[in-house]
Amino acid sequence: MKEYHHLLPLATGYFGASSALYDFDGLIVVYGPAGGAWHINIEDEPRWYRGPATVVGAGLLEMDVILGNDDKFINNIVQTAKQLDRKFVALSGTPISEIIGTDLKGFAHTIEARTNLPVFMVPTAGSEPYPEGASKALLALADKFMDDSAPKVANGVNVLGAIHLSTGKENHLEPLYRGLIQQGYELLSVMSSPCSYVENPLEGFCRAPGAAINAVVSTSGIKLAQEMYSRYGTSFIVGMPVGRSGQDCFFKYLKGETYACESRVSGAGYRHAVVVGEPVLSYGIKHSLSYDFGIPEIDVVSVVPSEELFSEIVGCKGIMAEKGAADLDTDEENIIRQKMNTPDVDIVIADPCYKALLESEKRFVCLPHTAMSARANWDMPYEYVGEEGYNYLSEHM
Amino acid sequence: MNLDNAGIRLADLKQKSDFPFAPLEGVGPNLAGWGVIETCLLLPQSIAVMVGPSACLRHSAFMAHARGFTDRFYMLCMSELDMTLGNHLENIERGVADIISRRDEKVVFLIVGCPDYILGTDFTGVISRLEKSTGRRIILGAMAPITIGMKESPFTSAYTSFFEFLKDKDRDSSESVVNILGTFMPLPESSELYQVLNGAGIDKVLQIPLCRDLDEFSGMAKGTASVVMHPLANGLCGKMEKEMGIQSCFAPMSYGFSSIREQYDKIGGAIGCSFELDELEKSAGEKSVEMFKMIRGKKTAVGCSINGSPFELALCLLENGVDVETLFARGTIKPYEWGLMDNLRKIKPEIMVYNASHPALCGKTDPFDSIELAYGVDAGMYCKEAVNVPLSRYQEQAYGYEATIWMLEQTMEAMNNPVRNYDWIYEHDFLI
Repeated sequence: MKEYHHLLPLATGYFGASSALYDFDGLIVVYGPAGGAWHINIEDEPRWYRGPATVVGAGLLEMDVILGNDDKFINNIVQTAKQLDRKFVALSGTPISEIIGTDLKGFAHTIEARTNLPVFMVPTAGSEPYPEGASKALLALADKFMDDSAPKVANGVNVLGAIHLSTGKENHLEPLYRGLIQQGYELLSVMSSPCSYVENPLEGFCRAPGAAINAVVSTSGIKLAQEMYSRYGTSFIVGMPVGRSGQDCFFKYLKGETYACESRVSGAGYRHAVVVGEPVLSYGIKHSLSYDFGIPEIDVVSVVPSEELFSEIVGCKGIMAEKGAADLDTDEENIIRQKMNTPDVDIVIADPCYKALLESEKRFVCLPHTAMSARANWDMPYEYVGEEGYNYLSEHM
Repeated sequence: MNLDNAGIRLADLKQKSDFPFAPLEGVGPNLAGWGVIETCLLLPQSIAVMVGPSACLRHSAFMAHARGFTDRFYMLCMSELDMTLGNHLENIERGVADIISRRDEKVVFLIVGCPDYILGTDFTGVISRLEKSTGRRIILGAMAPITIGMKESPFTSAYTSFFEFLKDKDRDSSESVVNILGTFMPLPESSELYQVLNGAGIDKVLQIPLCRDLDEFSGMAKGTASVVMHPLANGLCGKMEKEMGIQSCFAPMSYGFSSIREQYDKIGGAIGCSFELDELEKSAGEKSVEMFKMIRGKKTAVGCSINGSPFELALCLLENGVDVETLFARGTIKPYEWGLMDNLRKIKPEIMVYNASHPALCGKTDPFDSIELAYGVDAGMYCKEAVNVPLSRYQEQAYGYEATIWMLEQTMEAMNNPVRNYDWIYEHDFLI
């Protein structure tokens, strides 16, 4: 049991699935009561505003659960999917479908037969970390859409794990895409935020097996990267190129080279930092704090599981994450509060929500995490990638 | 998806089954309104502890934080497996006891979500042990959208549960107390209703959001009558009437002069007096005439997220020369609104009424580009070229003729200094 008071519980599985699939022109049906999908849209998915319906709710009611009104929902989904003219339908589970054991896989088969659309289910519930739902959604989409015979592109690269719950608004990754193009790469697919270099996201996804390498920018993309290595032999790196040193490291790893870390101390003057957030980005921040700003002690609190980063991953050419002895995996409010308020910690970098946990004056640098504060900081100006990230950190530290 | 699926001409909307059915819940702003947590926490000296899977907690937490209840709202996160096996009860008992030990409030609302509701989890033992060991009152409630459409919604149930703090109180009604029920934002002391009631000799008016503690709240037991401004309070006033003999009347906030007079008549009937309203109506008429002139003939849409009934506001606007073209409603059209629709239909039967949550509406803004004035943030979302006037129940509470003036002043303000619908939703939290 976790107790929350000042903070929000993090987004969970079906939020992750919705985030991962949002940009591919499908229809995502959250199989639960009306409130589930509505809250995703109004809080966690600001891209919905005045846009076409992407995440919709099944509107499950008590009597439907008791009586097992499966036909009614199958008919409703079929009717809506046909009339909205979408590329696929994804059914995402909720605590209710989990508890009553709804056969969403069976639903998917039936709906596929009746719509001639690709239909799949994502086995989500309501307590798991959101990257789990995102990973499952991307794997399911890959099963349906990845073209095993896609032409090989020697300088082709895919970006995996760019889900908005982890990486925020699409513009934050623009320096990454620009950097890849400048380095001579062709961007085949971005999973899953819109990107000016990939005209049709779903077509790009189909062509993704043609890439020479995958760049995984959040834990949500690791499982798909492993799957693509197993199916297509596509190797990958894991990391977010935060700041100047992070960017250098990222491109060295991408080319299969080693990176010799050099501290480029800018005299930030802090002794002990705590970074709270999604692990890949947080370790990217740690890299920058260490090598761009010379902070000697940096602890990372991963609010979603980070163990995948530190286990042996077949096909991985490089991981931009250095585990520290005092690092933690937890999203529990009280543990994070204790960590942030450790007396010698003099700077905290985290989503603005966490500021409520500070008990004394410390430098607090805002780095929004959409899976935590949702739309509250969606429009906030901040950066983390490359030179823009360096400038943001430099300005706010 | 054809937009026609989502709407119906007012001329053809005569019963609930005529209202366009949404095969799936779209991303429309269909659920704006009262939440269970904020309803519970209207009761003074209370805290809420919500238990359930973190997805459900996250949904409710947004509402609680947006309404400023962070300090009185706790969440205990449970896994689906533990809930199914009933293993969570022990954790809940321990967690609630721990929270109570850090708080002074006398009442704890233990709020469960859809999973516990569906599983039929029995909290009787947990509650009775907690009440015994802590001396606090524990009230079980449900934040369970799966129960939508039931005879009494979870919101109404939460509000009705306040009866527990009234039923055993002294019933001496010599003080001429009038209770106002169903408001979230309180009426200000300077409000017209206070003046009208004072004029009729009522010197004590109680509103729940203004009660500092349970003692003050329990003063409602001395009520001469209760004025219900929102159907949410119908359960509570029903019990107060049946079991305590406190007369009540349903007199919702209205914008049109004829409706306002009708509401005042109902209040007078419940209290047993009549009000002198001519001067108030005359003064409001004089104040409003120029402002109505400014919006006369404007193509207008009215949504269901406004304080009051969209049908009543539409009627008021039409009667004053405003060209209402479109309404956005929910499936839960209230019983008293069918009469308003009859009147509206006589004036302009071609008005289109859309189901705000229909997926066919999502992404469709072009058909509403001609709308110049949109009341309610839900209407403003679809009418992107319109001046958006939220008239949100979270702004302030007005009543009587001052509600008409408030509506018009808000309109003038929005026309002179328009605020983006996006900002109403995301910066002012007017959609949740």
